[in-house]
Amino acid sequence: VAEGDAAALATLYDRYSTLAYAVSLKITRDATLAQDIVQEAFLGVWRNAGRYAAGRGSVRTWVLAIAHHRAIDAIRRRRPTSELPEGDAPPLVVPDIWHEVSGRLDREEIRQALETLSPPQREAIELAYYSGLTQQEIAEKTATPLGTVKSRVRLGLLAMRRALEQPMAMTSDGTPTEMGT
Amino acid sequence: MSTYDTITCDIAMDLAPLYVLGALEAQEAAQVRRHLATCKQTHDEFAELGGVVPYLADAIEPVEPPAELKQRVLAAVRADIRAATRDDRAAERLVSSLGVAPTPRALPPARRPDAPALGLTTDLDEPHVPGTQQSASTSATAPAASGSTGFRSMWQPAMTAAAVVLAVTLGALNFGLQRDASAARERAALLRDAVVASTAADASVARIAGSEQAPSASGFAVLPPSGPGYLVISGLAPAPSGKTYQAWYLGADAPRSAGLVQVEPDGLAVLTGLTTAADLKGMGLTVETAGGALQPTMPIVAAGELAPRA
Repeated sequence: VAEGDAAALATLYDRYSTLAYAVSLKITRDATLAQDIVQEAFLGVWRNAGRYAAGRGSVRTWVLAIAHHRAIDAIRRRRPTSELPEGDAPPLVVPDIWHEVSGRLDREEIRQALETLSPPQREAIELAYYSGLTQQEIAEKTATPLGTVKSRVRLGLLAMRRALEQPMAMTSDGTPTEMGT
Repeated sequence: MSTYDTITCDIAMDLAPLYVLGALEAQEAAQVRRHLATCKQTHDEFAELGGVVPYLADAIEPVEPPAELKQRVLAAVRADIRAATRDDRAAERLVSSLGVAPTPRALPPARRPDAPALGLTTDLDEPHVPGTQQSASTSATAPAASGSTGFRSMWQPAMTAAAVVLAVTLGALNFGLQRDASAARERAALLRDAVVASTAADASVARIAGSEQAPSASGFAVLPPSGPGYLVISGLAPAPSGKTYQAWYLGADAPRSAGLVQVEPDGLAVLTGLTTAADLKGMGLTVETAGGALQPTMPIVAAGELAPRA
């Protein structure tokens, strides 16, 4: 059984380690730390595979959520100014929309969806997800009130959702109006 | 105690966009989690906004980790497996594997191994999904669980997570661990195989949802083009006396039996050995007289439509 388990995990690793590593590296900018995070994330997946079975979303989003959670946890621990995350905090929401949006979107489509956001909306989301900043840090960095940060993130996520749900409509809306690169 | 202050639904909704991105301070995030665990509302906005978040990762340029990392991860898993066979983490792991999604009504809340307030170390990796049926059942049981065990970090600092689980398990369970550990381990392995199979690019996957007859049932069926397929359904009530659950292949023609389905006392059923067919459209579950039937007896208690896994 043990070897079978390890082989099963190896399969998952082959499928998702590149994505998990890219996310961890983007957030931490530290290859050693990112590797530790990926290792922890896959160990967590193995330990909890049974509980995943309730069908809460794709394994892919699950792996990603764990890696992202651990990565922002790691960088916040290194910042003396930031409040330490709770030791037993569960990772972020992994909502269950893979059956709607599915995994069929490629990187270019996702980037195009991000492009539909206004620059301030996109900046707020990128600072949160890719840089691991808290809302206070985003507010300070962009010299924007907290309430504005919140509404930018909300509107940005909703806009991105619309764009992802209608990739075809997005092309007709977005592509013709593109100016240069 | 201010960390455990409660927040209102309005505040939770206001914090939702930052919560799903992980941009709240730890204390606020904890308040949101606590609210979601206890609130009767479904709070669909968390799923609506958070559904986008995993796709942000796809915009990042992929980076291959160093080849030796895979060996490191697998070595860590093997060490974990070895440790699991000799110390009390075996109990913890077994309980986690058993506790896929227990039927809340049938079981005392405190034994739910995935109740957040139990503070299992493994809860660290449990994605929280508000706005789904599963989270609704979590919501129903979490307050009772926190009431009976308290927050581990505050009240039981000396008790290890595994010990807490074990105590709760032995107190509230009369199946699985004590009765037949190897069967439980086998089922955990089967579940892992099913999960892995569901990620294969060429597999067809059906999300199984319960009907009015089994509202808390949910799960998935996975049918790879070759090799065994699986049907995993949690949240099922025990079959009535003299009855059995039976799974069906649904297609263009009359439904074909996929086999009898045994539901464990924790409400989980795992059926393997499914085979795919060209005209297969979905999978269904009915309640039949013990021994099974040649044709399904209505109503269907749970079903799902197959879709190719992109």
